Amino acid sequence: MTPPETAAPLLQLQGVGKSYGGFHAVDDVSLTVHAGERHAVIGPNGAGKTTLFNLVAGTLRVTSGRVVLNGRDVTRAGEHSRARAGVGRTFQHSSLFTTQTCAENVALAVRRCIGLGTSLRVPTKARGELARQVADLIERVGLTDRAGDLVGDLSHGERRQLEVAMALAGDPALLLFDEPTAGMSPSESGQFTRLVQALPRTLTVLLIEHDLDVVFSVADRVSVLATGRLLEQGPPEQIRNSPQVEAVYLGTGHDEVFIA
Amino acid sequence: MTGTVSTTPAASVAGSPAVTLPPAHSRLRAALPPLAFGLVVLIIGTAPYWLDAYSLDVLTLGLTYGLMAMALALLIGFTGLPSLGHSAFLGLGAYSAGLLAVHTTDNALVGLVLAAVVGAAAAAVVGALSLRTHGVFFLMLTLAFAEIIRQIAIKSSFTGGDNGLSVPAPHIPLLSSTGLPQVVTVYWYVLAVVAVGYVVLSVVVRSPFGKALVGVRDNPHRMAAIGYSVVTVRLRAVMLSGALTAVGGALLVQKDTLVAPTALTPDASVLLLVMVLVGGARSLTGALVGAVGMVFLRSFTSSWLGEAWLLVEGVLFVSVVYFMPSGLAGLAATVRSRIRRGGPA
Repeated sequence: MTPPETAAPLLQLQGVGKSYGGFHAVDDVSLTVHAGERHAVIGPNGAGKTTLFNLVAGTLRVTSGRVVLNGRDVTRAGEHSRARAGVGRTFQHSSLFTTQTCAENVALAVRRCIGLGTSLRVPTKARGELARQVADLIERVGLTDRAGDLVGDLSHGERRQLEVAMALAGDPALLLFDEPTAGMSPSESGQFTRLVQALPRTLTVLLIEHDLDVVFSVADRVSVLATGRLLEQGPPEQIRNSPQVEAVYLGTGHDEVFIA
Repeated sequence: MTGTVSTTPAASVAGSPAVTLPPAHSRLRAALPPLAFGLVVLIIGTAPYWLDAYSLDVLTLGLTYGLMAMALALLIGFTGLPSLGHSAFLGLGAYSAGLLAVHTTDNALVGLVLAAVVGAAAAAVVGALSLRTHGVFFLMLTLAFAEIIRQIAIKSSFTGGDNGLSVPAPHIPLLSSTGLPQVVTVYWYVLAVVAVGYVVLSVVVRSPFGKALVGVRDNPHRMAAIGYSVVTVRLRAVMLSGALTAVGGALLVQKDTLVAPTALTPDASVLLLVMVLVGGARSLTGALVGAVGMVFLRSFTSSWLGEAWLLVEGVLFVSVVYFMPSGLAGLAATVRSRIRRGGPA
């Protein structure tokens, strides 16, 4: 499947950088993700992947450059504003409310999306809609059987699925996955790959991933980061055969190891 | 007759698959919460008929602090924002209601409304200045803010300085014309206001907004990622808490017809904090019970210990934090779940 190159750019990073004092965690990265694309960011530890990711999500603010989402400059917009503008995300370490049920976790996200997040009551006529959307999202990630169970009782893989359900609430335009298969068993990771593949192409996906099997079976395009800079970008076949990428991953990777 | 059959639930379950009636003790258990609730309503509702005037006054004070403790519990227990200076809102409410009574009107309800508005506005300022950063800044700013308010109360002439502000007895709509003794009308009045506060807060914590508060307490990053403005949610909680604490302060000045800067010392903030922690910060009822209990404890111990009563408060505080971190409410929940799980009640 070829990437939809002709589609409109959904996410544009223009010379984006993040510095801490003299240290450049992310340095002058320019990247365009088109609508419907599955874009993976890979790179050795300390390459700045998670920092870049947080710059896109709005968790961190850039120190240089611009972030444009759907033609709108969101460089100064905070995390929740970007979420409202259509960015859904999962966290590297599952970030859920463990003392609540799956359905309650998802309902928290859905209520916000239908404008009832901080209301004093859910109007009777909105209750059916809320319940329907919650059930839909839970079904989409295959957790229907566990909807009423406490998150604390879920397996690692199931928690990841629930994270996706919360991220999908309110039909985001861009989904961000931060190392989604980290700590998963091979079967869980295979299931997760199928879940991502089944997402409609109206959604754009940006993921950070360590498991190159997952990357090559999901991504249309791959960006390689090393020491905060964009090393190479292209379709999976190109990246797979790139001597430069191989050098970073297998060769003289020692320099990068220390930059965490 | 059915009662004698169903008192042996194990036998009936094992003997026949057709169990028709729940065992008697489980019906009793189901009836317990409404019974306990009815009992409490009966005791509180009839208090003026069997309590002496002094004890009734102490109960009134306890309920007033109960409202403020619940308002503080909303912040500490539900929103995860500890405040060390809630006496600031108490003071603002007391002085604004007091000044209104001195200069404009003795209508008690107008005083409450003014106190709520002033409390919410002040809370909005404190919140806006501190909530964008870490929670610790909120804590420090509330502490500083309380001291500023206290110094203004001491140094200004319009507040009566160190001597405090004497205010006329409030005119309480409906109640003042009944001819009942002042201590009794004030009791009914305070009880009604605190009951309304309890209902308002109960609705709030069960609402989507209440769930957003708990979400922000437990995991602000996740809440931001699903589109909640953490700052806005916290700010609204701080404003609601500030408003209700100020209403509590207004009740205090209306009850005592006097407010002095001594009511605004850090001791007052700490006392509120201890009430909340003793009762259980994650339970409104707990905070209310904790406040009433602490006020009675203070009234009994300080009559023969004087200032040394603070030692009792301190020991109690440390013991609760150490042995009962969820407070009385946590203890009650444990007992309830034990009763529910096994053995005849």
